[in-house]
Order: sequence, then C-alpha cells, then structure tokens
Amino acid sequence: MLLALIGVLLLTPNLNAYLKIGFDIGGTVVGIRWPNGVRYFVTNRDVPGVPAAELRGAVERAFSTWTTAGSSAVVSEFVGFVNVEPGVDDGVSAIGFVPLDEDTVLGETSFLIDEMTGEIVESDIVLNSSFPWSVAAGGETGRHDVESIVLHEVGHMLGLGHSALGETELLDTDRRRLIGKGAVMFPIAFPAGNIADRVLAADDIAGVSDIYPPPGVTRETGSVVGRVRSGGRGVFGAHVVGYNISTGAMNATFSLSAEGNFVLSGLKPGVYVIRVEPLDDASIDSFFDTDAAVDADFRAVFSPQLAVVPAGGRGSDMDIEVQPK
Amino acid sequence: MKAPALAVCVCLGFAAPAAAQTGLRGYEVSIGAVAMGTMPFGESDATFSRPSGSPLLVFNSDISLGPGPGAEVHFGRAVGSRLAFEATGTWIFTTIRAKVSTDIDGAPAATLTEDVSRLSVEGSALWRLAGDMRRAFYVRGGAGWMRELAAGATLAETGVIGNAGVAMKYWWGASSPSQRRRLGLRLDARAVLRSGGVDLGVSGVRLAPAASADLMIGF
Repeated sequence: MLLALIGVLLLTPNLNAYLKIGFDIGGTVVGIRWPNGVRYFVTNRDVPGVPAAELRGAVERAFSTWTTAGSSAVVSEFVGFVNVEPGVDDGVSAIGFVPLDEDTVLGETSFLIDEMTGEIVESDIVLNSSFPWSVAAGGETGRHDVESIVLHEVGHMLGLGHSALGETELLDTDRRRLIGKGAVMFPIAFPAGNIADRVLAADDIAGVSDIYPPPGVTRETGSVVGRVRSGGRGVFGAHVVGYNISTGAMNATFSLSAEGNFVLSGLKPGVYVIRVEPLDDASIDSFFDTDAAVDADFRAVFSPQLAVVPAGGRGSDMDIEVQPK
Repeated sequence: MKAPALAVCVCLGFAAPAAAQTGLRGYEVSIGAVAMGTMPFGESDATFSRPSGSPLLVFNSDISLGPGPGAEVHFGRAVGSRLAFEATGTWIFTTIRAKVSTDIDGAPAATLTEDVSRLSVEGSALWRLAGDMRRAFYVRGGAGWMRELAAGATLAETGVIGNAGVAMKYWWGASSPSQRRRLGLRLDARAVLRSGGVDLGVSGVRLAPAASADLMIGF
C-alpha cells in the first residue's frame, strides 16, 4: 500500500534536532532519507523564461549546493528529461513546472511512500508555472529565481522540514510579508528578483548534516540540550535559537516533547546565546501536523546562561522558563 | 687543576653584585592572589537578511570576559645587577558575559554568563628601575601558554598570554646582602594580553588590566 504525502506534511521523527519530514509506518514515525541517493528526472516542458535545459541546470546547481555546502553524504543523479506530470503518482521522481491554483505557493514537494517497507517510491517537485520565473545568473526583476526555490524544495526532498528562522508581519489579507530570514528552509521566499536564497545558511547545513552526516561531523560538532517550561509545565513547539557569539551563525530547533525537551545539534564548538520564542512568524501547519498541540502563547526570552558546545559531544543542559503573554 | 678554581671565581663574581643591588638573593618564590579586570570583545548583532539584502537586527550582544579572581605563583632568579627572570603559573576564575538587548520580539534585555577558568604558564623578565635593600621597583613583561576551560571542562581551548606592567617588592628585615632567608611583599599591576583561548568573536590580541599581591620568600 502506498502513502502519498503532499507538500510538507510533517511529523516529528523522534526527539532530535531540526524539523524533518516524516511518515508513519505501522505506528513508528520514520524520517525521509535517501540511503542510495536521489535519482531524479526533469520535465521537458519549457515555460516563459525557463527552457527545460535551463531548469535542469538550476536543479543540478541546487543539488550541488546541498552536497558541497551542506553534506557531502547527499548523493544525487540526473537521469534524464521526461514527459510526465510532476506531482502525479507514477513511480518517477520528477521536477518541473505545473500551473497550480494556489496564488501563494511557488513550489511544493510530494512523496510517495511504500507503507509496508517505508521505502520512498518517488518524490516530485512542482514549480508553480502561474508565476513568472527566471534562471538569469543575477536574477531578474519581477521574476522568481528558479534556483532559489528549487534549493528550498530539494531541501524538503532530502527530508528537511521548515526552519522558523525568519521574521514576518501579518497583513490584513491574512497573508504574511517577509521582513527577513535566516535560512533557505524558512517557509516564505524572498520576493521576485531576489537570489539570496541560492546560499545555504548555517541552520540549513546543520539540518541536512543531521540527516546525511558527512564523515567526521560527529567529531567536529556538538549539541545543546534542554527543556522549555512555562509554570513548571513543558512547552511543545517552542522555537529554540542558538546564536554563536564568535561566528554569528544561528541554528534553531523546536521543543519536541510534552516535557518541552529540545536538542540543538550540529553546532560548531563555541559559546552560544540561547533564545526561545513562540512559533508566530508563519502558520503552524507549515511546521507541524495540524493536530500538534503547539504552544505559542508565551513571550520571547533569553536563557539566563550561555551555552557551551564542545567538539564531538553534548554541551550545556539548559532549563528555560518562559512567561505567558 | 686550574679550571675548577677559575669557575668558582666567575660564579662568585656575578652573584655578589646582583644580590647587593637588586634585593634578590639567589632564588625567590612568591605566592598570592590576582584580580583580573574586564576584557571587552565588543558588540555583535544577530541578524537575518532583509529582502533588500541589508541586515535585520534580531538582537544585539555585547561580549566581555571577566572580571575575576585567581591565584598565582612566581619562581624567580636574578641574573644581573638589574635583570631577573621568573616563571609564573596563574589560575584565574572568570566569567564570559553577553549582554543581550534590542530583541526583535521584545525579549527582555539580560546578561548571560558562563564560568571560565584559565590556567597559564608564563616566562617574564623584570628590570629593576630603582630601590634599595628593602624595596625595589621593576618593569616587567613576558609571555606564555594558556588553557581556558569553559563550563567546567566542557570546552577547552589553548592560546597565548602575555603581560606588561610594573612590580614593587618590599623585603622585611633585609639589611645585609649576606642574609639568606627573607620574607617580603610583592605588588604587581599589569596589562594582560590574550590571544586564542575560548573563541569570543574577535581574533587577535585582547587586553585586560590585572593586579596582584604576593608573599615572597627569598632563599
């Protein structure tokens, strides 16, 4: 029996750092992972401004970025051009343009999973051809950058969920305006013409390294653990950010248990400021299942202590108390 | 037979003037307390990228190391009428401080801390400026190795440490160059130079004031 997951339906595959896309196999949550690498096709359909060959180039650069900057353990292979509809369950992992009805979705990633074995049958990336697109090296005013959006979607294909490292404001139209972001995997893209999302941030790199650990990563990085509580009660879904005071890099995770436990891993050794905030800069269902009891009713706070991260081990163990709004 | 006799004469010839003019008689050991001042590392901003490419401030942090107390031990030896060398071991207990403020979501400003201890071994030279048998004033300078341990020994980093400053030594009851065992007080004020160690965001040498008071034994 096959299980289709569309978009970024997210479960929490065990208590670990970074949100990952997961699925339920016989009551056990299993995270998306490609043990033998991703073999993908690119559709041979041109759209205005983006010939199929240029789309292929952008997709290859996106995979290469995850491999070179993110994790050398990520393996991908372009198989060829194909004349199929991405997003359709056909056993072919395809990346291409399709017109979507949704006017706020630039791209989405779907999975087809064998519920018996947990094997990934296929994963497709759809780019919404209702928007104007560009593959220009320096970006193009008024057109969304294919490589940037594909880089985000390939992150999902590799198993990453969304990062909450970003700031938005809610508009009257119930939409959000992006003010700033600190990760490619933040769910809201930069505006058309911007190519800043072609470069992975520390949070993206740590996330993919957590799924596909490159050689030596466990010796070279460390972690911080802790609990987020409100009135002595665990807080689920609190956004926990670690800021390296030396490098300025920011990594983030969530408290992923009823007790408010969190693990921030893949951190470069050093001293960190730990900051906890509610998940209120994007819709909660961009991160968690709709039935997840995410507590966003508290005020942002800094941990009273700095966190210390060693190479190859677990550092500080922190108790962080938050106050209701 | 002539060579040993000559050697003895040379040694005596150096030792006597040094004892008479510097107040040091052979060796001296001093043990005492040291207080290190604050070593600032400056401010840094946690930022996101705006769509325009400019940074969006998430919060500001102001990093410093110290102040903190410690203990030190010197082992010194005069080698001339004005010059002395010494080895110093120091153990400082201090704190990394990060003052965080201007949070984008209104998190209250706070000072976050973490304990750090620093073990250092330095070699220094002291040059006598003035003084008599009881008291003497010196300038000093030196460098050495240090190891900093944060959060217990969770994070251990090695670096280089140096010092430059002044010292004053006072010997009780010192009235004769032939007096072998003496007790004294030593006061130092110096700048501590630090490079490496726990990475606090600024490469290169950082500076902090320090002062110490030691009991000396000469022998």
